[in-house]
Amino acid sequence: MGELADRLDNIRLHVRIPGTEIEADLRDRNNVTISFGDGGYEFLNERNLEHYLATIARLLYVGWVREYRVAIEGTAIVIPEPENQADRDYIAARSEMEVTGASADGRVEISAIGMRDPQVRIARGTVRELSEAEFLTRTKEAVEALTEDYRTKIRALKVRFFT
Amino acid sequence: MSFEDLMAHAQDLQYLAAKHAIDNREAEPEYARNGVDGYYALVIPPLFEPYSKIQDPKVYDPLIGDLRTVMAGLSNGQANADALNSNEVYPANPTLAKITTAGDMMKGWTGEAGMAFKAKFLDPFPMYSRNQYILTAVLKAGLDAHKAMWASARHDIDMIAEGTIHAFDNAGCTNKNDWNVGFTILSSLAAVSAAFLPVAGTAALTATIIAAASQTAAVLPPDIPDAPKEAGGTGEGVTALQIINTMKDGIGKLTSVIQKTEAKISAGLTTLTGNVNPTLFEAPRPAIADTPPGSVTGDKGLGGHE
Repeated sequence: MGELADRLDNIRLHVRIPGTEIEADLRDRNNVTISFGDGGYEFLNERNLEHYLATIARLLYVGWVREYRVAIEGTAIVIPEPENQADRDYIAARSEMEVTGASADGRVEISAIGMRDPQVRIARGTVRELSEAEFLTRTKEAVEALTEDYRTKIRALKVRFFT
Repeated sequence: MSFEDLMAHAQDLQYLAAKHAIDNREAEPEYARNGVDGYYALVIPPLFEPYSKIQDPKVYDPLIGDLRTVMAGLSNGQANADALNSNEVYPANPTLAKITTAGDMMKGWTGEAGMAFKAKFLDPFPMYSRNQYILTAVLKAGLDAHKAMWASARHDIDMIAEGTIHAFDNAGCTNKNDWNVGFTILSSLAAVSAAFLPVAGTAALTATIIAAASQTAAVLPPDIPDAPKEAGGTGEGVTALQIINTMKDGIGKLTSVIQKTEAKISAGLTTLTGNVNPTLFEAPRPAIADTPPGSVTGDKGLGGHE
């Protein structure tokens, strides 16, 4: 609706895991597209995939925070220093807040505490049983579920500390 | 965002507030009577409506222009401090020198009215014109101050609306939803203080007026205790009601700064006009003007020429 909302919707991120052809794009706040490069997916096992997806999640989160700060520049929004006990309690609770998101079939699950150090769990046999496209759809579902969980829990925390 | 769209922003805010409250299933006692939509329809537009009627500050320009013309006519090249605006320069008007010339020519005439004409009309003329110049400068400062005040008020109310829309846009984000709008109107308030303090405090005007008429010292305009400097919220901004209440509070602060600025302007003008003695601005009618033609050169008139 507002201009800031448009700016946030329009944030585009592109990240690449160093030393690999694995890249990811983010748009519309939580729409993530991953590409493994030619023939990359079939040669990975679940453990490698978990590691790579976690790295992508970390890079995207860092990129998002940076772009968010750019987007609010020139607006009235300020990122405040904590001023009272409620502020400090909120920040502490936020850094311990656990969020998770899983694909509809449960094969891909992403979790993080305070959005730091994301962990990814991929069910064994997934690479053999799912094509690359199917796997990416599942991953997308997990990312959407994660961001939804994050939104809901942040809102609950704010309600708890600031209303 | 722009001021011209202020009421459209008010509608956007109505929509954003209701949507935010409904999306997040916020239940507040305030919504009981008219529902969420009804509550914001009643609360938001009336906050902005008086502001939307603020005239374009350009309406002051022709009046300010007229006073500038008057000042240019009256200027004898005073220091800029007398113009109460350091950005404006009024070169001396050479036509005023005719009075000096006339004074010199009157020196040789010995009659009563001739001497009185020189002493009471021609000699103090520079003081009268200077007083008129200063009075005009003060009136112009009043208009300049009003113009600046309304221009800032239009800017600041627009910023409050924009800040609140941003707060709704930002409501889902991780950070505490803080927004902050610094009032530009404070700079116009400062300008008003700067323009009017000389009237009461410094030598420029008071010296002329007091010396000429033994007036009592001018009274300082009342000072403004701690005007609010900004609108915005800290620690709130989770629910639609909180966001809108922060906005309401900001608009209230802006309104109080406008009232205080207005009080300052009117105090400045009143202080001056309270000290205006008409005899300081206009010479009494010279007796020689009423001397019958037959006795112009008599002892009571111009007398003889040495």
